[in-house]
Amino acid sequence: MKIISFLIVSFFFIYCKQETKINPHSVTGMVQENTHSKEAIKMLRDFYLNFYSSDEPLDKKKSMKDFVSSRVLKRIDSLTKNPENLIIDYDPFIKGQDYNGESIKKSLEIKPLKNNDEYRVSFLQFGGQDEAKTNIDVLVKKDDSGKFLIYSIINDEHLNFK
Amino acid sequence: MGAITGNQNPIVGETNSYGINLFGALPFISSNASYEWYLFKKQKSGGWMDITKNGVPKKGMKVDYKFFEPVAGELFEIRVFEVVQGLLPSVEPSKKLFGKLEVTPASSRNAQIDKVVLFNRGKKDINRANYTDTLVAQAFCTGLFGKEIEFQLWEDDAAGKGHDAAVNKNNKIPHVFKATVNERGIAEAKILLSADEKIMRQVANKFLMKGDSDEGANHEYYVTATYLGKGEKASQINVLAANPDYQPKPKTDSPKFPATSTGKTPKQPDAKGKILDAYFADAGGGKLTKVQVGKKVQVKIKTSGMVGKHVQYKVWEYDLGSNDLVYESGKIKVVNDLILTGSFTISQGTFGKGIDFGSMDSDSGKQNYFLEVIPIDVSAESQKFGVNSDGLMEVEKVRSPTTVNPTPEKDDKKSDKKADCCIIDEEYFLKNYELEFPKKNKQGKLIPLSNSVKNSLRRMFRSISEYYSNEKRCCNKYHIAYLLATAKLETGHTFDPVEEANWLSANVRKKYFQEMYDPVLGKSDKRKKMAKDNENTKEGDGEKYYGRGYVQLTWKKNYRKMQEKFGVNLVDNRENALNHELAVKIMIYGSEKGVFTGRKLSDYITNNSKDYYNARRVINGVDQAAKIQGYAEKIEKCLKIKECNCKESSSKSKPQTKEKYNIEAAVNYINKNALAKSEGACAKYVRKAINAGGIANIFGHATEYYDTDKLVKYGFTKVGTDINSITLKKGDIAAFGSVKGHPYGHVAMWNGTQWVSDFKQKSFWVANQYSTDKKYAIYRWNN
Repeated sequence: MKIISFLIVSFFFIYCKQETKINPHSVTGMVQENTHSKEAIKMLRDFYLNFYSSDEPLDKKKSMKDFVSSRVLKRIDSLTKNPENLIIDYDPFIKGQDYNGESIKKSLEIKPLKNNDEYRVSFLQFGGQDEAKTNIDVLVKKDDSGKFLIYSIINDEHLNFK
Repeated sequence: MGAITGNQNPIVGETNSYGINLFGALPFISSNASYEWYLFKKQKSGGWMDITKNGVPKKGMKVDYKFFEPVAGELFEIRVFEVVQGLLPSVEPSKKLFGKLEVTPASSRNAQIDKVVLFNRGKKDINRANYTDTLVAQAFCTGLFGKEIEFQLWEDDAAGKGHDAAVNKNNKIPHVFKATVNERGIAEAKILLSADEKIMRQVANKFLMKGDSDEGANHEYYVTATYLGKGEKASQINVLAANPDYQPKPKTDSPKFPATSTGKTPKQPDAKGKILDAYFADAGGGKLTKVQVGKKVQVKIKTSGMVGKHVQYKVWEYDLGSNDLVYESGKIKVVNDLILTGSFTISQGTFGKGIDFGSMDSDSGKQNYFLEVIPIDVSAESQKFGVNSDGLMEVEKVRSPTTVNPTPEKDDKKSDKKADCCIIDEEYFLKNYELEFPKKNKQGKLIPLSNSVKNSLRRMFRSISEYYSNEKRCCNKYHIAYLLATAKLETGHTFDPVEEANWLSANVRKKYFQEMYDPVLGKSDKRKKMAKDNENTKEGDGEKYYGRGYVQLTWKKNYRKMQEKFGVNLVDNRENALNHELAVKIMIYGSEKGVFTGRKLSDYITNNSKDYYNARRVINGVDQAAKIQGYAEKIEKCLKIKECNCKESSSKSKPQTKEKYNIEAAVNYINKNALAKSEGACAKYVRKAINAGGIANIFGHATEYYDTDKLVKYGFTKVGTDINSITLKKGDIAAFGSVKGHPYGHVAMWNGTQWVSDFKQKSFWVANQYSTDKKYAIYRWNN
């Protein structure tokens, strides 16, 4: 009986060890391969191209609500409520107050981050000499209707919802 | 209480008179009264501070005041006290406030330099210096915020006070110092005397004050300042720099030029071996006293008791400060008492070695050479010949079909164009280079970077800027870091162009080049084929087209390519590749275009990624790649490249003319498009309003409108930094710098009644932190 018990315990131990080994790889593989992330990336690309590749939105019928969750929009609204004491006076989606649409269009890159549902949007904001890329890390999730929306800006202290 | 009359908004830079209002105050004026004038300045705290010069009031019924640009827009108060003497000597005089007048100096309508000073900061006597000191030149300017002021140093030979331009016309120190006018209206340049010591001493000693027999114990310096070559103002008090060349009565038998050391131990005179004479000679052996660049010369050496021994000669360019070595021969066997050596060409490369400061150096047109003959295998002393004014050989640079100008673009009108691209902050670089690459002596003390390395680096920086200016494009900082790292390694840290395998003896070198690069004498079939593939087709090409310059330009093919690119005869006059300026251009062009190996710098280094290790493949596989990588990483930290103004140098984006900016159009735009509330897009909306006014190509975070001269560059004027002292005008722009919690700053436009950014603001301040820090400036378009 002792031997059987030992074998059972050993089997579980080995099995669990293999699981922990395999899991990280399979998760990474899923993020890069699954269709969800591709759709999320497409949404982010559409969002940036629509609102930031030119001074005016490409499609004026589309609004921020089509791409950004209401919790993010509400938070931004509250941060900019007092005109005499703005908490943020920049656009958190570009970390700035102005941009060169042509530069953003040409340099826009979106990559999945290590964690599921997190993506990095990178671009050259003005396309100037020696300009470093601006990185916006966002959390993208599906809403109840199955539409991908930006749920937080991870690298913004006011909008990371932590 | 009486009253004071005078201009309450004096224009800065102008002298204004203020007087007692006799009419208004007549009943109070006492016959035995005098008046003392004090100046007070309003403090941020709200109080007044007495800023009367040295605490000594001006006296009289009428006095003058002059304000300078830094205080434009600030509030002052002139206070006059009436001092009434007691009727009896024993009675103390009474002093009471007679009147006061608030004054706010206004910016000048005309941009100008008001005053220039030169001094030795931190010294007990700020008007005295040594050549190891750093002088400070300051220009106090009006309406020139953000503009570049050029300082020119002069040695004063005019007698008495003042500077006589005619007398001092030859005393210009060939180095222009530049500084940008800060928000206080002051441009300050640091003049490191040690950096230019040689040329300064040379200039100073060359011309004397009328009636003087020598320059004396001191060199007197003053500085002039100009903006775009105009509005020259000079400092009034000279700085006296101790003249290191001053010797009250030099001993006639003291050696003026110490002999070159040729051995580890001092040689003893050798009775049997003597070098008696040497001079430059033509092909027939006739003595040469004058020659043009491009010509071949030989050297005639007269010896005694040295047959069978060897000598070497060096050609020096004569300078009063220190001499420049321009050529040195290989080992020469003495076959007779009188020998005529093989010829060498005084090429542009040779000539260039005698020039310290480009075309501004007095040596850039004409030089004087003398000889030093060094015995190799006897203990005779080396000797110098022709060092007096009669013996020197004059070498002249003339434009003729036989001469080659290594920088053809410099002689045409284009060369007058100011280099605007890739301007490296020289002082910042040198300061940080010493920190990144510290050299210590045995005691562990830091050894400062030598002047020759500093000068070589400065030359390189100017050539880099000139290259990109000619190309009309901006440089990549990381490319520059890598190329400088390459130059550092290839030149053994001297940053002077070098010849390949220069440490080998002439014969060994020749053999090495034949084996490596000759199509006939190559050491293997592979090397021979490689030689032919690279256009080294004839026997002898191997020893001709060996490595020269910063990246060892090798093979006839590459010499030809560079000749075609830069219009300089490199195929026939290969020494031109050693010209500092050309060597820099060859390095940049060859590396960026992939001329050397087919691989380009941009394959490894871009704005967003850099692989300093593999970038070596652009030059030579991965040979020394790690070492250069290390250098590049450090050099990158030393590099500060000023904002690229290449586009500004073309007419396209020069400051807009006044007619092209329409304030009304700008204000209309911002009024019409303002949002109901802030969307964090102030810079975009103000920028678009400026665009609507007629100025294009302006972008950036709001803080950049405050931190840089972005608006000034386009023709706006900074009118002040105190909102309470400025009468706002429609179209005025307020730019706020970055403050805690607001990293991108803020910018807004005054529409005549309120401030508008991306929304119509309720107040000037859009966040508490801005009102706390008060880091802002107001800009105005003046038609």
